[in-house]
Amino acid sequence: MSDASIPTLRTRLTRRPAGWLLFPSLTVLILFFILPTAIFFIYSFLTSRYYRVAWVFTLENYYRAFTTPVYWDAIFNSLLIGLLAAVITTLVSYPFAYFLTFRITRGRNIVLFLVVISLLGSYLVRVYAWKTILGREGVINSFLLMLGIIKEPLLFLLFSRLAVILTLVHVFLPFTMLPILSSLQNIPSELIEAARDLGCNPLQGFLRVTLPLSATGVLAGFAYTFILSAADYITPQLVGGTSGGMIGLSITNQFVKVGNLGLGSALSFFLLFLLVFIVYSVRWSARRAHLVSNA
Amino acid sequence: MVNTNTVQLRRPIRIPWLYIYSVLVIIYLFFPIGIIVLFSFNSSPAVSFPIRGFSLRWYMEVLESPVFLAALKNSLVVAVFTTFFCLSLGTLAALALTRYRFRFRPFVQSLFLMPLSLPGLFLGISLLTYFISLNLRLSLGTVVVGHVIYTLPYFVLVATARLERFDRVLEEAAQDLGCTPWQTFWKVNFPIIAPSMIGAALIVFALSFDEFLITFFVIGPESTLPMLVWSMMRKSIDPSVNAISVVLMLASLLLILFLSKVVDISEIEF
Amino acid sequence: MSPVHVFADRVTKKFGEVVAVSSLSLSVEQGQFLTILGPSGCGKTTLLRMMAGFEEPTSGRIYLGGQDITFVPPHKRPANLVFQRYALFPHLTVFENVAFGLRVKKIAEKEVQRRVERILALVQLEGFGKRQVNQLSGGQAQRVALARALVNEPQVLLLDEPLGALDLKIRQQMEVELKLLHAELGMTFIYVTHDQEEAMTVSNRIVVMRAGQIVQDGTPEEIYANPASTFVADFIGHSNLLQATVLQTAPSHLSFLGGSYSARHHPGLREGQAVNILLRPEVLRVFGDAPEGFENVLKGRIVDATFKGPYVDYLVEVGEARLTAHHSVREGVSTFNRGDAIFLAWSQDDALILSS
Repeated sequence: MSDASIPTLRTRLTRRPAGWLLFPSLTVLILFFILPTAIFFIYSFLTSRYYRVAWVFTLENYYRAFTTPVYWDAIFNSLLIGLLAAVITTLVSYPFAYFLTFRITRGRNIVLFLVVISLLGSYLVRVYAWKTILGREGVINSFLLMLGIIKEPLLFLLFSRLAVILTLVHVFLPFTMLPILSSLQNIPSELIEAARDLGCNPLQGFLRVTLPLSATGVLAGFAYTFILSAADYITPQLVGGTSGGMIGLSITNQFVKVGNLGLGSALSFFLLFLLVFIVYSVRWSARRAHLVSNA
Repeated sequence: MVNTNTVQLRRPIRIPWLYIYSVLVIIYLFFPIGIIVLFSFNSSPAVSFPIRGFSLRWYMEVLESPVFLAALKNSLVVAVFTTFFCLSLGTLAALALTRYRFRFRPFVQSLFLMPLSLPGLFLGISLLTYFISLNLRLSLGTVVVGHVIYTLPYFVLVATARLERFDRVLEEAAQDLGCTPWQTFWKVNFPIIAPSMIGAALIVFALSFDEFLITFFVIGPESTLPMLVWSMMRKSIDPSVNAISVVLMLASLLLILFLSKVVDISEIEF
Repeated sequence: MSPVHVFADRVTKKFGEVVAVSSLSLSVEQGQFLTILGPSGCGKTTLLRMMAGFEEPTSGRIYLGGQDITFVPPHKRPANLVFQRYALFPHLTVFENVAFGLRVKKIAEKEVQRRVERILALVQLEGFGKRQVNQLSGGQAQRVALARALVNEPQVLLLDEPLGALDLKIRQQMEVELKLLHAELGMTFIYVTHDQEEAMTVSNRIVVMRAGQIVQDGTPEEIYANPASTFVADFIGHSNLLQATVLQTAPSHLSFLGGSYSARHHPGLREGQAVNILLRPEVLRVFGDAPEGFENVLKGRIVDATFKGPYVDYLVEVGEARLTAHHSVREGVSTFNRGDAIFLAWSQDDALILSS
């Protein structure tokens, strides 16, 4: 490239300021992100009681995390709900993002504006809204009762997996939408036309060109929703009830109610490991199926 | 699908499925929010149909409540400080990441984005254990720390995306026309990138103002607005929570309206 | 006469209020290399995209090989398009790009291999199959785009300013290659460009478009020698266009540049009519002394001389006007310098009258 012809000048001018510019933010990240994470990790190998840890090495926490059926159930339930929420969120947001990118020109900014509004509209309020909608005396039940369609309130609405997933999908939809949207917007329309010109029907063109070229955004949105919903501890409390506890709540309780910091930490890292493992497996299999471009 | 065997002689009729679908998605996104807004004006305390009548009662109650006002003040303080730190740290970092090639750049870049893909639960608890082991008292200060870690990736993401599109030829032109590096920055770089940085800062403000998952762990005896909403939600029905929710969302809405005046929203990439 | 292959019948395309193509009819014969030439916004790309199936005409019909294809979707048309900026798939290799159309049609993999190899050889890209498309130069990318379309053996190849993004030298080279390729394959080529030199080089028939309509249709020679209007004359080749008034109709005498000169016969002129006179730079001869044997001679002064290799371009000032004249540089022919007073001469048949 043209830059190669003047390497000495550029590098001499540019090497040192990078360090100075990065220094403040890196310090903050090391002090308040890397170190806390490291200590948190060490906690999982320490004995703890009543919100205090003793600096005695133990594998007891992991042993308990692996062998207690309650935690297994909670972890399994969390992963299942996380996966379902992520799959549904991705499936719901993709056509929407597609529509926004390729089908409308006028009013696109207004729709985008609406998405951003719902993104920044309070997380807590949105979870709570679903509770009021689905509850025993909630909006749906009272509405149906008022119209005389049902005689008794529908109890399966709230405190069910359905409620949890409905809420999580709603909360994370805009977050999944944005990376998909930006990856779709980066696809030149000629590429899709070229596919059509070369004999693809609309579906084939989508599968062979649009989807592979937007897969990075899809995977990013999927991973984001999966990780954040599997580890959510608010939604299960508000709309999930006692049915099928999620691990996020169990972990929270270790720190807030029980005080077993070591076990909470072991559970957190166990969960984190599983989440990362699943995200990478999905990514790996997408690549193997040639759904993602290597370029 | 079109039948392959017949040649099409007429203009095909297309049903706008995607259009209908997208309208439904928008409805799904806004239906719950609409419900909350609707019931915040309901004169009866029950959040259920039928609606008894229109009333500003819950808003009056909220606005007169000292607990609410204290929480609002705390939320604003936290958001202001978070935005300040995020803006200063993030702008410098984004400059470093986009303008310079250094050895660990890919690593540093992914380090900056890492908190984005970690659950708030994880960030909150690790900060909590850290503060405990340092014997640090939990306060609004620790909340600000948590929020900076949480919002920094968003800021860096938006800021680097904008800076990467900055045409460096403009700087060379300015220097060619006699600007010192310092003048170049203030006369050329700053005016061009400022709107995007302000936009990113507003997003940070909104994220911080609304943050709950991390705050829950690292807050001390004080309360923020989301914490207040949380404590009210867990109690049995307290209809003024609807009014507070609306206030909370209205704050975000105002921020976004302001944001859309400052920057082109479609320019902000995630 | 070869049979008509592509036929556009009174095609109109409106985008909202804007009329891109206006009741245009065009027939292209089997095996022709037709260029649609015109300035940007004249509707040429829209016309091509309607042939490819990416736009539907507001009214009118398009036929290919006798079949009405007006509303046939692009993937069912036996026509392939070479895109302006190549539109190569970034997630596929060169080979996969070229094989794309064949694989969509579920052609046996062995056959795919054979045909792709052959077409890559044809565009001189043997051994490039495994490359990623972002590793290609502009010229190579263009060849891949060409190969990707040709490998499907379409009945008609549509090319949308395919050389627009290339450097002059590679462009000229590709123009010749395209011509040779066309001669070898005998396929119908429809080529869109705004570059008149390119159009003259590649095609055996040029259609000049303006504001959604065809203003002239003919071989490159015809269009150059007999432009139908001032617009075409101005668009094709370098030209000196002068406003003139008709003094006498048969034989034609006109008044311009403060004198009275004769021009080629043009039917339907009225005395006193305002017309344009076209004098191509190569018909103007430059002399140091008043020449003999020319119907028309003008006095002027050289204001600029540009050396162009085989000839010199003189910019000659005549009163208020400035004319360009090509002057061949040969042994024994004198050249002139800036400021020299000279004579411009041309024969009557070289001055074209264009109604304005």
